[in-house]
Amino acid sequence: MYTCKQQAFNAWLENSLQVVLCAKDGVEALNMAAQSVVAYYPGTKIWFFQQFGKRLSYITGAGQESFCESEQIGLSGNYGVFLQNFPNVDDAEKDILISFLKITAALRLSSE
Amino acid sequence: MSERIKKDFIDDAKIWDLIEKGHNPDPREIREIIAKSKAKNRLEPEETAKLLNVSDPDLLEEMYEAAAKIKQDVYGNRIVFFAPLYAGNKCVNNCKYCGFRRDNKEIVRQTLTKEELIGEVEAMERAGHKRTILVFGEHPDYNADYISDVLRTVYETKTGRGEIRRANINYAPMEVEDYKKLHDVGIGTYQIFQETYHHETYANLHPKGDLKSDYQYRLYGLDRALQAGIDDVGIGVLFGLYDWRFEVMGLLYHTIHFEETFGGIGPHTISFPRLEPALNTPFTHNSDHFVSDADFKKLIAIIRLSVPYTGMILTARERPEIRDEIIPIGISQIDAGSRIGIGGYKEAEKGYIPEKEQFQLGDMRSLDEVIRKVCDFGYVTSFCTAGYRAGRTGDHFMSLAKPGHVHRFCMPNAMLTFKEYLLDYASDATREAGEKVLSKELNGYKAKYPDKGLLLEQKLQLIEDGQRDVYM
Repeated sequence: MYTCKQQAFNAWLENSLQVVLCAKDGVEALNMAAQSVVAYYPGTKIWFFQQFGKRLSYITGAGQESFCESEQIGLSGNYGVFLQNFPNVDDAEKDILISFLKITAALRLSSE
Repeated sequence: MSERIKKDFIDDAKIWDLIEKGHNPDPREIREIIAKSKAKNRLEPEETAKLLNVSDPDLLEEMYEAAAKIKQDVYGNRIVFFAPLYAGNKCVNNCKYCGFRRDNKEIVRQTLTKEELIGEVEAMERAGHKRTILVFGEHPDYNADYISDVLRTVYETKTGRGEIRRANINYAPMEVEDYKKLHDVGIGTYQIFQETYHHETYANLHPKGDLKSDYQYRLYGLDRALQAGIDDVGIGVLFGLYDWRFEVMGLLYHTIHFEETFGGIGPHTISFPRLEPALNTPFTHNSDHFVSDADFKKLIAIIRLSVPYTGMILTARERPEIRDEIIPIGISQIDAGSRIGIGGYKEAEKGYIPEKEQFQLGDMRSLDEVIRKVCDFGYVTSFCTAGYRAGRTGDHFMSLAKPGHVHRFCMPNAMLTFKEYLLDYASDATREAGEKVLSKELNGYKAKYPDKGLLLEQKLQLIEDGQRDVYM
């Protein structure tokens, strides 16, 4: 049985997936995903990048800089994301969040 | 001006009009402009034109102090170090001011073989360099595939604990597809210097028919780089070709063009080399527009005030005493221990001083000596390359640099890379001077940001314990 917190998360996830699927291109999808994530997790920051050799080229992102350590996560192909200030998100929820970001990055990859 | 010249965002007549209108500026107005700049706002051309006309010594002093303050606020108490690597000097152009020009038979034409390139990179790494800028003459041999191979080789070459972590490029303008090739192998910044923004002077100095003679192709060269995804671009002028006041205005208009065209992304860096004597190049002795040391100091302060967020590069063309005077008023990057001859780093290791180069260097001090001098100023030496490896590029970088936040990442990363240098490469005297600077800066950082200060201390300990390339 889902808790209230899980239900809220599931509803957010469903809505976010619909939003990114409606995006007109891959960059817009990444941007919408970033906006949606920081709206759901206040005080966080997220930014997508594409890796070329040593360079991680910024694509888009959202949220306020908090100057704390960021977590770098590979998504799809040479796409990745930095998550900043997500310490209070439990592992299971974070796994799903990352899966959502992977789907969004895969959409971007397929739109290239 | 010739009829054949097309319209672009540099309006020569308008620039001169603004400079003329800026004569005899009201000190109160100048102080308002300085205040706007100190609030980290990019200036408008009318405002910069007024600063160009300031001659009152007290007001000038206020401008220098403001420029220094802005540099501290935006970039912190640190100087980024790099070294140029000249990979090939073949050139199809005949620019009147350049030692590499096609008709200069006194220059030995060379292109580093892969083996020689590796030797040069290893020599740079043995000195402690982590950042380089690759420089080439403009020649069909130096196409995007060739330069991509050079970039790959530079990144792959490691010796001991040494490695180049960021390679920038200073080269001719390219097509979008060519820039993409460089982007895909991990280029840092792409620099193109317009040399002079004055159309007629540009036409006079770059003979018609040469690749470089097309002013607009060069002017919009970095637009194509940005379109290709290279979102860190550097602009510059060779001061001494035309009136320095006009050139400062050109740099500002170029900045505004980027901001308006690319959603707020301005130049990552601005460079301002001065014309220096070059072998068998009479123009470099006879220009009508040499910039005096006093005007040079003034123009650097004005660029810092006009574009508070941009990185500013002062090269080893300048004499040590000039560098020591200018660095505090706004410089964020310098090169040191530089060699600008092809194969110059290996030769320098053997004690040779090359004679036949693109121009003469003014500062031949070693990297270690310059770092020790910078320690005297209380600055942390930085070899930091974390930003472009953490997605802090393009408008993400600008969103941090414009409000003056970038130093909050860069300062701890500067300290981490400085620690590496002190442990691995520094002379005893430099290590002693550097540790004092590090200790003072660390204490200040811990007092300001206790949590992050603790994290930084832990990371510094990791470096003491033998880890390398540790960054925040």
